[in-house]
Amino acid sequence: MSIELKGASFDYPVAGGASVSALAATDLVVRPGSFMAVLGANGSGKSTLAKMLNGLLFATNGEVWIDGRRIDRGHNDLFARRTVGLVFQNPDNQLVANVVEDDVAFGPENLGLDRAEIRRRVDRSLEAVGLPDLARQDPHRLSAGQRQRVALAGALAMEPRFLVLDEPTSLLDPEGRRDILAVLAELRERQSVGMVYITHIVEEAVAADTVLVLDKGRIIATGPPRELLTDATLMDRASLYSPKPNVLARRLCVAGLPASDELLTVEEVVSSLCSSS
Amino acid sequence: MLVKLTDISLVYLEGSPAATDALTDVSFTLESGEFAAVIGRTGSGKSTLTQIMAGLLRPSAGSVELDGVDLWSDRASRSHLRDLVGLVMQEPERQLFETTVAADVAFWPKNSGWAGPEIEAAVEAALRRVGLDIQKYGERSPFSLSGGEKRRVAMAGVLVMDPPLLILDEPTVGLDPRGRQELLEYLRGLNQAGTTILMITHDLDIVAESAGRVLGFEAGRLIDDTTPSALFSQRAKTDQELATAPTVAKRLAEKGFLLDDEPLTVDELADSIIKVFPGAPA
Repeated sequence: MSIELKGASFDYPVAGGASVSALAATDLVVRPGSFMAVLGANGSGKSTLAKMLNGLLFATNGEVWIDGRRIDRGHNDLFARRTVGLVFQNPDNQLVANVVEDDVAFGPENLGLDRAEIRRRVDRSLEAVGLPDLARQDPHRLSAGQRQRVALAGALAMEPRFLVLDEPTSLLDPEGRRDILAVLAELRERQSVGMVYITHIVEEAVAADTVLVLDKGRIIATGPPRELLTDATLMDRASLYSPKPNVLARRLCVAGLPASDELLTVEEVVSSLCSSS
Repeated sequence: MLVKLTDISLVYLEGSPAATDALTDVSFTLESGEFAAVIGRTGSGKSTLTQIMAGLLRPSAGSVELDGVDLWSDRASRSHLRDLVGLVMQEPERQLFETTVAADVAFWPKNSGWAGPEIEAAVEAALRRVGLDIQKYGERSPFSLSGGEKRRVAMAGVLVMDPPLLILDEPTVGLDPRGRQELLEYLRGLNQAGTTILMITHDLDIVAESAGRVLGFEAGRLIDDTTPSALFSQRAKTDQELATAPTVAKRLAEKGFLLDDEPLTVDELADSIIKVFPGAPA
């Protein structure tokens, strides 16, 4: 059970001209319960990759496999969309109903589930994103951050085995972000949901198992966060910065203090300083 | 005095059973040249506030004064609004609609009756200010640009009017780290050159690095009106989120490692730690 890209590429057709490559031949595997963070500049191919992972876009060349099934136009594409939930960058691209709980129920209803099961999933998803009080509101009258939570609840209600999340916390306040990240971590641990997490917040990639860096439609690096995120040359090439605690550690390291330039988190920097002072 | 809000309240769908209080009794004054950050949970009234300040929403109660003129006292007071306030809404690129970049940026000057050559010069300058060359970008369709480029074109469309007050609703969301850094440096430069800035952000590091003042909202009420350092020292006593530097300082203090100042940025923090670290090279 995994998502697999084998030399999968995607070209956008251009009216009356040659097509434009959005994603070069890409190999990757997403396993259950795993957490892959995808980083890269605007226009580096992140959103194209996301849509290929759940059958919204089909590989121009190469293959996409989910759970041993080949995904292509008219071929297992519905299976792909049910197995892999996609949460868009902009919640307004996926809100469909005029009442929050109807919106969240939309996907499960299309799966043909019975009323009680739909109810259970809606309540549980709204609870997870912290919105049970707004269940009867019109999502279009909520704030952007609240709409982002509704969109996430809609994806959770499908109980997908994989989640592809395109900047799902970009509109949330710090406490809201912390809560949502905790919900996602729990889904990985308890239900082995595999996640591909696209973000511009480098600090959010620190907790990933694997980081993938895209630049101009190509994967230019893939590996553990500590290796990639502390690589200043790589970060610069991809229009990124190292996580702030690492920037701090590097400055302290240069000044001769006991902090290695491989530290990534606040806790690591603090204990490194305190264990030797 | 540039902007004065007095006892502003806004009720959406006033008088209907679905009426909701978006803002309640909000008062503050923004002086010329300030850089104020607006923070608060989602749904706390921040975006509503920006729309009231830009004259897009009429408050249910209270007054908005711009440069000493009450915005809602008569029609004439709103006619110069575009010259006074520039509002960059959330995801402003969604409002691009013209066929070329230059035409899109020229929209407001044209509608304000500027002369042709004046418009051209202003459009070129506005694009240059957001780092886009009119030769290269002017005739392109806004829809052929990347997300970051579109964001900048949309901002140029606001900056072209050279408003003394610039209001931005989460302008860095969706920008890659470098684009975010460039935008912030640009805004700081604009502020140093005299533009007053009010910016909604959820990024506490941006508050720490850029703002001189912070307005905190909760459930439609203004609960904090203070400086970033006062905000973080007050929040450090709770379990609320802090910017990176105050977080590190707080954790160090908990372990008995005390700094002798309150650094706001990672650079300042590094300096403070190096200064007090036992046995550190001077």
